[in-house]
Amino acid sequence: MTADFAGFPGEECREEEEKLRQLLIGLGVVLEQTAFRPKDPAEIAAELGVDEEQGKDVRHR
Amino acid sequence: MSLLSAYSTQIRVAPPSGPGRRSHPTWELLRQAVEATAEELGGEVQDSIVDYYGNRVACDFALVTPGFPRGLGVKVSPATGEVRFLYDPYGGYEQQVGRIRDALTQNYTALAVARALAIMNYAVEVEEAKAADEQGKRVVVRGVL
Repeated sequence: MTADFAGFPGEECREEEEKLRQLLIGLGVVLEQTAFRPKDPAEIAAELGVDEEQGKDVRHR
Repeated sequence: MSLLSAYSTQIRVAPPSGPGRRSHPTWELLRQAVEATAEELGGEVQDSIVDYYGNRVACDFALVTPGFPRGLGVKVSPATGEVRFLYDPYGGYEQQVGRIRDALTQNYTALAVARALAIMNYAVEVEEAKAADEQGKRVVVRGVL
């Protein structure tokens, strides 16, 4: 499983990731992180340009 | 700070020993995931599998598909809630079993993520597409605040 947290300018996405992880434990999914990459400022800026209209976004594949 | 994360996943539902545990949300998710997987693979849900010799083994759920008619059993550990798979792949069924197991885990995880994002007040959309290798599917669960 991969997760893409998009449109978060600050540390809020780490909090959202932790909240999601805790909820998933309660729902029977135990996650072990195997890779992690913070997005660089250019990627975040591009997301925020889009997200002014579309909002914050979490994608799981 | 936006981020990308990858995870390995393990399913662990509420142990079935306590009263009313089978009505726990995790059991409901497991039932939904088993039914979705059976539908996806053209199979059906039963309560036992058979081995190569025809011996029947009871399970919490059994996924019987045209590709693997002996069935893949799902058995929940009474002590820990760990989801275990029972099957007899003798005769070259390892690949079929792997596909069923992966589809079930994927369906359970997608259902759980969609529910978790809804609890977090995200608007949830689910998209499914054939995987690049044509063997499985790709599921994208999208939550928008």
